[in-house]
Amino acid sequence: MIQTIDVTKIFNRGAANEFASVRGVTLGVTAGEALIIKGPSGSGKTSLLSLMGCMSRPTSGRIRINDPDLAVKLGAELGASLEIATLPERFLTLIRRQMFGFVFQQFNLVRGISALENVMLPMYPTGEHRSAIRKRAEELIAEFGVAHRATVRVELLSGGEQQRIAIARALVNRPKVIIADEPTAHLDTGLSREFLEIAAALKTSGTTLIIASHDPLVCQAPFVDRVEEIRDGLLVRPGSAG
Amino acid sequence: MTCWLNRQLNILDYTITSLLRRWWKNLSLIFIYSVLVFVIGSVMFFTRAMQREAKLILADAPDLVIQRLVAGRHDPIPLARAEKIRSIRGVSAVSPRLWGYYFDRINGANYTLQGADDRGLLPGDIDIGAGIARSRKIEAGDIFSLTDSNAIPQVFQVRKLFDAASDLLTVDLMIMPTEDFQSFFDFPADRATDFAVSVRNPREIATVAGKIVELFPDSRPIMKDEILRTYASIFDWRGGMMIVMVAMAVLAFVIFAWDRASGLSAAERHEIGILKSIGWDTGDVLSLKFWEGAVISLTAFLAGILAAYAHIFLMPAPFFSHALKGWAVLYPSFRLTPYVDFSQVAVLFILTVLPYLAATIVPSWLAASVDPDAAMRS
Ligand SMILES: Nc1ncnc2c1ncn2[C@@H]1O[C@H](COP(=O)(O)OP(=O)(O)OP(=O)(O)O)[C@@H](O)[C@H]1O
Ligand SMILES: [Mg+2]
Repeated sequence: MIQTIDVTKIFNRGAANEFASVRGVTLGVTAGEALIIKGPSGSGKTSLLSLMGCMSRPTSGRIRINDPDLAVKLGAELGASLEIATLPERFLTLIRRQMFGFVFQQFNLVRGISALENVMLPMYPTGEHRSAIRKRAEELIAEFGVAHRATVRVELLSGGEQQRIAIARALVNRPKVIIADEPTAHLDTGLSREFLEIAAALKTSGTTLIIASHDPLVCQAPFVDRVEEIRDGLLVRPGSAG
Repeated sequence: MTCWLNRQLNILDYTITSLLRRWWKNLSLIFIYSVLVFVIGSVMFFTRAMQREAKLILADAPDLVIQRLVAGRHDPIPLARAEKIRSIRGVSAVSPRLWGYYFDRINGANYTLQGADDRGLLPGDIDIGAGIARSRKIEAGDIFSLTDSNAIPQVFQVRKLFDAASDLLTVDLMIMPTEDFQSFFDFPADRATDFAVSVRNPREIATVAGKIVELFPDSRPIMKDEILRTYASIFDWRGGMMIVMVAMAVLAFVIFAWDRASGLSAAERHEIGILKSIGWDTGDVLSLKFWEGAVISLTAFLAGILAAYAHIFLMPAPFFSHALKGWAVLYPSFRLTPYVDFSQVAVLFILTVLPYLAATIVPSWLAASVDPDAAMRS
């Protein structure tokens, strides 16, 4: 469903502090798969995830997305794969909104507004009616057991609660792919296990999972199909299933 | 269509939430902004309304006023001169005028008192201006007493009040029959305060004035042009516009400076990155910033302009009372007739709201057009 072909990401190209965080990575993920990308800090996991999630464009190489619904939406031929490196920016936004839900390393919730509003945010540009958006967000928040904290400003929530809100926000547009960056980095073992339960449930419901983590708890979770390792921006082959 | 509308409504909704988060900063911003609009709006309304009043006065002003000077001071002019002036070529009419100032001890105000027979006033009748009626709390038909030059109180019956087409013109004016005027002030019957001279051809006014001075070297001619120029120098449209322009430049500068100083903070940049990463378009982010700027600048503009209107037309322009007091005729408290030049309001709107909108949108646009992951890392 998502395929990167010899993808490279170079920051500050041409400058003295030029840095290649991803180098020639060829990596695919199929629909419904649960893929773990592991590697030490600074190895380029976040950079790779943001490339796969259409958050940034590769310096070189190609990234293809193959999804029938998306193809229809963007008016492409059915079955054709979209080459995202060359798509205009507004299509990338549309793809991000339609296809991906992100759970960021630092959660990246918008401070100063309520948890509920944070979950509603990704739905605003869909043009749905506000009441429908609210209903959807409330359902999700209830599903994750944080309904009683819905009106609290997000920065006042605990780490675990923040993560649930972040997951709820990632799910609100019913994405096909969830991208989670170090989801357990800020959680204790108990909360990590809770996250893994949520992830397993998502996987069961058919959601594709791409998770960056070096947490053994995550890498060895039963729902994981494949673990790929990245070091200094290079994929370490062969990857082995956990 | 409904989709687009919903999208904008949702974004507007978020704008309000977002503004309320930093309500203290935004409120002080609106306050400063509206104070500036208020100041500029006040100057604008004031000069414009004054110009209009001045124009109304000038419409009635005679081509030429002839006064007599004795030892350099204004002195009653002998009526006998009227005939001689009328016989000058080009003069179409000479009408002697009787007027003077009356100090009202009760209100501590100066009124203009005029004697005239062409209004059909009977002896003992008086017409008064709205300002006097207001301050003395009297209406048409009431008895009105004034103290004459021998300190003897005289009573008059108020026949009618001048309707306030122009307050400035009639606010402090009283008119009584000539004979009453003469006896009230002990004014010599063979004199007038001055002559109003009509000249057939406006281009000959200066020549006629010259001839009158030749005939009566102690006379002082005052030409309509001169009055016009005097008014113009005070309330000149361009002069007023200059003040407004300068003030606007100051406003724009202050707002820009404020905005630069507070800038697009790292937090705001980060927030834009988050919004983009969760599926907001650059256009959506710009809508957000547009609404943000629009809410602030429209609120401030409306508050400022309404306050300016109230200040100039509903209160007696407290901040401008200095300028008013300098004009002796205006001494009693009076209100400018409300007069708003909408094209001027539009100019003020364009010059204040648009730069502000640009100042809020442009930096956000720059921040929103980079890849979201870059925006989030910075
Ligand atoms: N915008 C940028 N400009 C310059 N260098 C960058 C930028 N973004 C990332 N990098 C560099 O790229 C490298 C990989 O970063 P990345 O965040 O992808 O690593 P990571 O594997 O996610 O690390 P961690 O486990 O600490 O999150 C790092 O050395 C980082 O400093
Ligand atoms: Mg990372």
